[in-house]
Amino acid sequence: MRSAPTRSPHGEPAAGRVGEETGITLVELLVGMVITVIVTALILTVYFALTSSFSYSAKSSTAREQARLAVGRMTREIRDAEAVTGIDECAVRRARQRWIAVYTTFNESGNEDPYMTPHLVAYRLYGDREIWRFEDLNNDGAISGFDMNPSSESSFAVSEKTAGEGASLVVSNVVNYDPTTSPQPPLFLYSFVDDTGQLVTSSYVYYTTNRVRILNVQIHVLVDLNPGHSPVYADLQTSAQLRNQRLQ
Amino acid sequence: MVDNERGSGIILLVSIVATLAILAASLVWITGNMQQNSADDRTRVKAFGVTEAALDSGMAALSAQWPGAPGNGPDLSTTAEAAFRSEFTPSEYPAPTSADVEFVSWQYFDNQDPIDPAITWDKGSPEYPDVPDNRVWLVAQANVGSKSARIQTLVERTYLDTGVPRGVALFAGGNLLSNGGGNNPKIVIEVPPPAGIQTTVRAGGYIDDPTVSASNIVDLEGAAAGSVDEVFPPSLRDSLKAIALANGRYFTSVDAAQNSSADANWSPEGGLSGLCVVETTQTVSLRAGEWNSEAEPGFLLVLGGGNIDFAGMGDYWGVMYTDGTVDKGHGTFTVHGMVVAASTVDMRGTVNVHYNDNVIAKLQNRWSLNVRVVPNTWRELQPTE
Repeated sequence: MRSAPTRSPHGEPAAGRVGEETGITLVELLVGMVITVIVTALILTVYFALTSSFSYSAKSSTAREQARLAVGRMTREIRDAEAVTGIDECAVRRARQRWIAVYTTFNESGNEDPYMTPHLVAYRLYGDREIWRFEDLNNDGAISGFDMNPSSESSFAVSEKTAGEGASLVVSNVVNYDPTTSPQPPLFLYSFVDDTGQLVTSSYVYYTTNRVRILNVQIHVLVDLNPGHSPVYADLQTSAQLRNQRLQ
Repeated sequence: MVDNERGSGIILLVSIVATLAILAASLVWITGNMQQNSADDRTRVKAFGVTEAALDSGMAALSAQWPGAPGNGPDLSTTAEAAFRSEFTPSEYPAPTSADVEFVSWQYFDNQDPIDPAITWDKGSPEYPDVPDNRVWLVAQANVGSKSARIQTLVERTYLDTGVPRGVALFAGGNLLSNGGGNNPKIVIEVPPPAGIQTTVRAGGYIDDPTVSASNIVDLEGAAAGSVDEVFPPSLRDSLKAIALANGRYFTSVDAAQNSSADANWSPEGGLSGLCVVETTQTVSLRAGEWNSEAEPGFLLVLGGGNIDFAGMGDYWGVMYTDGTVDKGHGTFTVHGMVVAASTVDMRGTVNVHYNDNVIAKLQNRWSLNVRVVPNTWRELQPTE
């Protein structure tokens, strides 16, 4: 039981009892702690949400940009495809749904020289969802360490990624052929004029006589921007009209 | 000391708020960066599209004025650039950010080895210095905003393929008359057709006087002569008429044809020279003078039943065709090439028809209709500053 405070003759609290008078009660302390916890929790929630959002935005932005650059590069190289006189009269060396090989001078220094020989460039989508680019760097007409005649059109030797000439990773997390993806869009789809003069669209074009009549290549890249979590797709589609195989 | 301890809470709060602000700003930056990347992509696509349009525009200019000689090519400088620029709204296709480049620029040069961009006309090769091959390189570059694209391709001229048969000196759907005798033979070979092709004179009716043609020419009469449609197909007549219509060389009166102005490509001297199609029931008369040349022969088509009357001291180099008759071929007029009439041809006096295969051959590529891209020569280059 608290005693009544001692007062001075003027009615003010006596010296030496001030500490008792300015203390906070247990209730006040508890209320303050609860408020602090709530405020802190709110701040931390917002912080973690923002951090997570920032992390996702940064990663997805990078992935989206990487995919866009990859599609842009593929489009321009395919569009620029050019036959090599005397070696292969067709600008497209291989035309499959998961990979393509073309001759091109795109982005080559000095390609304004008409006598510059186009070299072989290939794009291939592997089972681990990665698209890699290969290039005949020494202009010998072949890409060493790269199988131009794989036994299967759905699985390729992963060793190509390290042994293939000019190998470079172009884009990751491409889920065109992921089991959970439905429908599974072909990475490359070709429009060509067949023997009867009909315009045909197919994900495979065999034989030079047909490949020389490829007019257009549709490129469809489906990238998962949120790998390991709920999928978030970037669906990039474009087409490359082969300027050197246009109908006259 | 109590007040100081309470201040640490404020510092903590400020730090947290600052961190949140940085994160929020980063998000805004990322979003803005993505938008900028998208905008750059769009601008890059626009620059490429404009470059392809410029390439087509350059081809059209070369088609209209082929650089057959030094200084003779189309002017693709300031005026052309301004005209091309006016087709694109500045809000949608902004001017280049660099002041050192134009919105669009072209360059064309000869393709003969060794390639020299300074040679801006279609010259011959070292082996055949006087024989242009009708091909030049064309380069177009467009600069839209901060993005540029540059395309190079070899272009070539395409020609009106007349398909006029070789070796036919004269065809008359009706009879071939030679009233008045004169200087037989009047139909001779000036330049023979290629080996294996016989020069003939054909008349769907009869040939009045066989001595009208030289002995080394075979006369064909009646069904053996074939039809006018075989010698001068309707498709050829139609295409020539269409081309004449498109190029101001189609007339519905003789006066209009004879008084027509010159056109560098289609009618070097105006009048009845070059390509001239007259649809009339009147008679088209040619008198003293010279029309065309062996190097630049012409077509004179008289459609609609009108006749051709050539006489006097004149020379016509090319092919004459009429739906009607050549009923007054007389005087000392000479046609160097070929004469085709759906009906009768009457060769009087000392008129001559000299079959000239150089003329017929030249008519296969006498007029360029267009300029097209040579397959497998299209390349996208690095833009230049």
